[in-house]
Formats: sequence, C-alpha cells, structure tokens
Amino acid sequence: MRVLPISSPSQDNPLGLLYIARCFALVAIIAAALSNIYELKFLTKTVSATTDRELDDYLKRLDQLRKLLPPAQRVGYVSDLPAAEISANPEQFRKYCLTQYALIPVLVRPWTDENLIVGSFSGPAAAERAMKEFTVIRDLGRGVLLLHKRTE
Amino acid sequence: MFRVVFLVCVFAGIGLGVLSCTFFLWAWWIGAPPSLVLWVVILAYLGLAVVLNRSFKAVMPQSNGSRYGILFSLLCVYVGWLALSQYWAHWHGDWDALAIWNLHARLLYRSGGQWLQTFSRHIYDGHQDYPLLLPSLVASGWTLHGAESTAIPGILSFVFTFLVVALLTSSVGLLSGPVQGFAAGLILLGTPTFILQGMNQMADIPLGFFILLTVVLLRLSERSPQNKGVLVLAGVSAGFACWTKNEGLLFLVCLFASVLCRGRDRKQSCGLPDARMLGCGVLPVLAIVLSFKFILSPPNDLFTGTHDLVGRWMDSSRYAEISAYFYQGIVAFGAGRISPFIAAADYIICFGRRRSKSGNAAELWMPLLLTLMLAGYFMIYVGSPHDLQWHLSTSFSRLLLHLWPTFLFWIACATENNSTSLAE
Repeated sequence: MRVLPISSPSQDNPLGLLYIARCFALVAIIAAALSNIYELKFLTKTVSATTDRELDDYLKRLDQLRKLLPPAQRVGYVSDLPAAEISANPEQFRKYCLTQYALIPVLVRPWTDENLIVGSFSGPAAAERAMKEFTVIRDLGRGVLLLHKRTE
Repeated sequence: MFRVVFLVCVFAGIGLGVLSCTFFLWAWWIGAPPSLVLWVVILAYLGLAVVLNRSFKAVMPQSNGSRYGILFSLLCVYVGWLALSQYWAHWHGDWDALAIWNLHARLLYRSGGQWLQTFSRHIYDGHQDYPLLLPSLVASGWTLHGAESTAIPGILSFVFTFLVVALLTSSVGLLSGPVQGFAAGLILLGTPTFILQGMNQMADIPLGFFILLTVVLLRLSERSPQNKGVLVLAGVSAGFACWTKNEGLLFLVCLFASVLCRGRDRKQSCGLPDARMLGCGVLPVLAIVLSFKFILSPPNDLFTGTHDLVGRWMDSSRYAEISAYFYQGIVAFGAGRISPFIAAADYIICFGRRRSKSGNAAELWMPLLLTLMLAGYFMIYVGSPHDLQWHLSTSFSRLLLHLWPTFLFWIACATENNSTSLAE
C-alpha cells in the first residue's frame, strides 16, 4: 500500500529538499484543518439557544392564533411602529416576518386595511394605543393579539 | 470504499432532486401529494439507481484502500457532532431559512392543493421567485414524516453538508489517490464557515453540492468519451443547481461556456457534442425551473429596477467598492484561525503540479468556470438595486461557499500525480 503519494527523495530530488518541503506542506494542511476544527468547536458554542427558545415561545402563541383563522385568508398587521416604518426597522421587520412564517398559508399584510388584524406589540403602552382603534378578539399574551377594526 | 461512497453521493444527490421535482409537479398539477406517492417514487428511484450503477462501473477507476480512512472517518464523526450541536442550539436555522426557505416549505405543506392561490398572491418580501428544490424537499420530508418538524430541515442540512464532504473526498480519492482525497476533504472539514452555513438550513450548501457534482461528473466523463450517460447525469445535476437557487442559472450559463471551450483532445476542437449531451440532461429540470419562473413566480428583486441598471453598471465607484470587498472577503473567508486558502496552497506544494502532456484548452475549463462564476457574481453586485454594503455583507461569504468545494476539486485535479493521472 502506498503511504504517501509524494515521491521519495531519490526519485524527485537527490538532496531531498523537495521531499521535505512536501512533507512539511502535508503537515501544514493537517495542522490548519485541525486548528480550524478546534476553532469550530468554540464557534458552535457561541450560538445561544436562548434566541431560539424565545422564538419558539412567540411561534407557539402565533400557532394558537393560526388555529383561529381560516386558511388562505388575508389578515392585516399592526405593531409598535407605523406600517411604512416596519421594513426599515430590523427588529420590527423580523417580528413581522416571523408572524408571516408562523401563520402561513394565511397571508399577513403589513397594513391595517383588512378585516382581521394581528397585533404584535413589545410593550403594554403600544398595545393600549392600538386598542383605541381596534377591538380585541383574542389576547394570546405577551403582546400578541387578534384584532378587529373598530367601525365608527 | 471510495467507489461506494462516491456512488452513494451521486445517487443520493440526484435522488433528492428527483423527489423535490416530483413533489413540486404533483403539488402544482394535482394537489398535495400523499406520502404513498412519495414512497413509490423513492422505491422506483432506488431500482433505477441499481441499473444506472452498472453504467458507472465502466468509467470509475479502481480505488485503493487506505489506512487513513478510519482516521478521516473519526474526524468526520467529530465534525458531525459539532454540526449537530450547532443545530441543537439553533434549530430554526438562520434568518433566511425562516423568512424564505422554510416559509415556502410551510406554504407547500400546509396549503395542500391550494398553495398556488397563496403563492401567486403577494407575500410581502417573501422572495417567491426563489426556486423550490429545498422547500419541496422539506415539505416532502414532512409529508413522509406525517407532521411538521424542525428536525426535517435540520436533517436535510446535515445530509447536504456531509454529502459535499463525502463527494469531494471520494471523487478526489478515486481520480487522484486516497491521500489526496483525504487531504482535500480535510481542508473542507477545516473550513468552519462551510459547516456553520451548512447547518443554517439555507440553500447555499445544496447549490454547492450540485455544482461540485456536475463538475465531478464532467471530469469523470473524460475517462470514457463513449459513455454519454455520465454527461447526461452531469446535465441533470446542473439542472438541479438551477432548481436550488437563482445562482444556479448563472452556473448553467458559465458551465456551457466552459464546456464549449473544452476540447477533450486534439481531434475535438470544441465541446459541442459534450454540450449537446449535457443539454439533454439539463432540459427536463430546466423546463420545470422555467415554467416556475415564467408561470408562477414574480420577477426577481434584483432585476425589478432595470431602468437604473445601466447607471449602476456605469458607476466606477461600485466596481472599486466591490473589488475591495471581494479581496477582504476572500482573505477573511473560512472564519477559522488559518485561512483555508493557505491550506489549499499547501496542497499544491504537497502534491505538486500535474505534468500534463496535452496542455490544451481541455485543462482550463474548470478554472474558466470558476472565474466566470465569480465574474458573474461581481456583475450582479454591480447591478444590485440594494444598498451595496448590506448586499455584500449579507451574501458574499455564502457565494464563496457555492464555489469552494469545486475550487478544491480543481486544485486536486491540477495536482494529480502521474501514477494515477487521468490524462495518462
């Protein structure tokens, strides 16, 4: 069995310098790979499961909401910010996309011109402001609400 | 051993593509596919794979056993464990996985036969033009499993990531020798970004897999010019690259340009016959991709503001900014302590440059393909309507990952030693 594919000193270079250089290069490949794999161990540890647990919690509440809605329907969306500012705010936009992800195939549109509206608020103050405009159909806790537009 | 691993990689990759296309076509024309249909497709494909396996034997070189195989396998198990720990800490995947790939998978799975009505309507910033290989596969997995689970996209990510490692190692092992194969696989395993992105449940690593598979099959076809089946299979793989991500369409154009420039030997001045066979394989999958693009999906966000496109292409500052970012991105690539490019340079020193007798255009098609792909990515950035820094910072490292396994394969081919060289 061939141990190394690199040629022996006598075949390639009488002084064996090329052979030594190649051996060093092979050791360097192994060292680089092992060092990077060692680094990978720490890179995977820096990923925190907390974010995904929070995400799970939010998605579970929205899942309850999905069961209340008929599929292939459109709903509106209201949050702490006006509709036009949602896409410019990474945190709010992320929350909007998560809502769409959780409720699909129900289409979530980031406006309030639909009959049913999903409210996703980060604090009670913003939620209370929204109550003036909307009627609460169901409160799913922690700022997630199913709303109906109040008619004058 | 390399032969078995290689065949598993080829047929698993093609099989996943076939399953995805079946799910999509069934969902489009008939409605939600029942799990029985998917099981029948899987069993039929396994039967076909046994038949196709025979035609492969003629073109596959004999592989030698190696004592390093066990050590490499142990290292793969350890990296696999690290990849799984990444999944357990981050089971919903990266942001794009949630907002695009798994969103589309949920739509396909939850809507049943009604998905088209929702799909054709406007999902706000939902990137409905992205091809559906991965979402269809995830939805197939849920259908077979009988319920939605974050484990299915996680398993698929894991499978594709380690299919790339196995395909690179086994193909280089077969074509150049076992130590070269393990060394190439080691460099790939020692690219932390590759493993981390691989477990992020996005389509970049599957695209990298199909690009590598196409190139490996094309290289293998050089061994046996009369066996056209391998070229057709390479075409199918290229088609699946298009069905994985929009960048796959760029790959297809670059691939045909490279193959046309490739003359297999002095008797064949251009690669037209090869391109024709490749086209036979691409066509069925490309038909699905184009039907999806022209009938179902809205236009791509990068090409919506075409009136400003010429202005952006004429703006020289964008070229300078992108060049600087490409340089920085390549230097910082890998996220490890040592750049994998240094390891690749060591590989060339270690195994030496191949002494080729032909020295013709046939040798250049792989670097040409990689250069054309990079140039294509560069021009897409130049024309991008998005904020350039944002666009570069959120995508460039992933684009490099599309090409990284193929780059390593090319390096390995360029350093084949004489005793096992294909050309001799």
